[in-house]
Amino acid sequence: MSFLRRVINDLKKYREYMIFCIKSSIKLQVAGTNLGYFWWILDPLFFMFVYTVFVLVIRGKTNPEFPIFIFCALVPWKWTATSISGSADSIAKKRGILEQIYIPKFIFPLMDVVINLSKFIFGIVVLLVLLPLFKINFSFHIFEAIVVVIVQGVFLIGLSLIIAHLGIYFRDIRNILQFAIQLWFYMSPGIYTLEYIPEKYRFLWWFNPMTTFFYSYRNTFMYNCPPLYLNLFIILIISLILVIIGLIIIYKSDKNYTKVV
Amino acid sequence: MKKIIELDNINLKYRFLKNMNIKQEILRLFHPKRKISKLKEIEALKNISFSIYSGHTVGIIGGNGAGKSTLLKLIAGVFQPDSGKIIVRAKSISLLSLGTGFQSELSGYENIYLNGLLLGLKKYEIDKKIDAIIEFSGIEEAIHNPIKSYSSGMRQRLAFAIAINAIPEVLLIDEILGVGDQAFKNKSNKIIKELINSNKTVILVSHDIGTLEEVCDKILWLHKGELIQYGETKEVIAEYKKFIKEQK
Repeated sequence: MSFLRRVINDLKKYREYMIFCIKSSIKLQVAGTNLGYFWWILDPLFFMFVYTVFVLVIRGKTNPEFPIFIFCALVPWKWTATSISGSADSIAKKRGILEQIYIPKFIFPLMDVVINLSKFIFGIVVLLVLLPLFKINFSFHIFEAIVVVIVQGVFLIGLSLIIAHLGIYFRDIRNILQFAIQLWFYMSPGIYTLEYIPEKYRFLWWFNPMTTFFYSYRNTFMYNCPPLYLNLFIILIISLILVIIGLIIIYKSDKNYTKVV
Repeated sequence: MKKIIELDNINLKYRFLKNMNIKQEILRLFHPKRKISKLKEIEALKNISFSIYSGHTVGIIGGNGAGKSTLLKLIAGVFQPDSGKIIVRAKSISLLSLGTGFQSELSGYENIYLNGLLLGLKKYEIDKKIDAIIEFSGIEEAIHNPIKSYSSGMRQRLAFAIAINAIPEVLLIDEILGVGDQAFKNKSNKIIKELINSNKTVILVSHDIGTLEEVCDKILWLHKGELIQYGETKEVIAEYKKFIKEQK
């Protein structure tokens, strides 16, 4: 497929630009704040605290590992939420430079996913520090989390490409995404386990890739067993298809985006 | 001498998205026959054909809304025509225009790298040139401040300094020859003249007939998206001046 060759050529040609862009964007994320990079630690910790309190209030008790249980889901969830909500805008906000010079547009959603990945990795480091604090023994299985990260990455890139394209033509997408993401979180077993879902509906949850991701991360970090390889494989195939579709539609409109006013 | 830029029957329209939202699209699904207010379109370029030889300097003139900036952006690769063919046989093209394509949150220093990389320079090449660029732009210490704190003159000067140092094969200049104080104007005019006299191709949009007469080999006259005339500078300028007189 010669279009794949075009992708690879573009990636090679714009490699230095992308690396520089990603580095400066990351620096920019912390530039406005006083605490800077420290927020990347505080942020997931605060949410862990909030959800633990929430569940305590509702159920009156939790088991001692519950905060980690949530944390294992919150960090990957944050990566998903920020990548998806940011993607609607990722090409549109670059209008200024796109009117000056040609840049293959697909690199923008791609860079956003990578920038959010760096925050994700930070969160994982915090998680690794928390694990012994909550007396959780972990084993070599945590390295298998890398597979989950890769599959989640491909999935997010695929979705981001498509949403970024739609975001140029349908301004409403950004509003819709707000609700969609909220709903998606509550439809994912982030702060609850699947046991709370009545058996006959449980299969629906498995259509949601986040279910697989959450369970896989928890398996590797908390329960010393492997991630859900079969599910991950299926998600990977679907994600690769999404990536290819995304790349095709972005390339087709590549030089038409700026004609849209 | 090769034809470095060739346009054949180019048409280009701008589309206005005011009416395109999800509500409309969903309504359209339920009432396919319902007349949805048409997307407003503007024909920016109509049936444009011409070629430019490498090393030439071509000026583009025309009233407001003639399509001059659109034409430059088309050549720069920012747009794709709706129909027709455009061939550009240059490895690097630089477009200098009134917007500057900077990331305003980042510093001038970082933007030099970003823009330089986009213009085809490698990082090590920019490392070597960065001091020259900063000096040419006259920005000095403010170079490490975010671009959003710069005056528009500073931004233009910086954009100019970067684009010039990228030494593109084709340089497209959109009406920014009048930027900066006298010292900067002298510097930039000198450089533009050097580029024009060299083997680089320069395409310039300007309302300054005097400059165009001085430096251009050929002039392209656009009016409301159509090509009125393309030929030797003296001829086209004469016709253009006649046209302007008749308007009065």
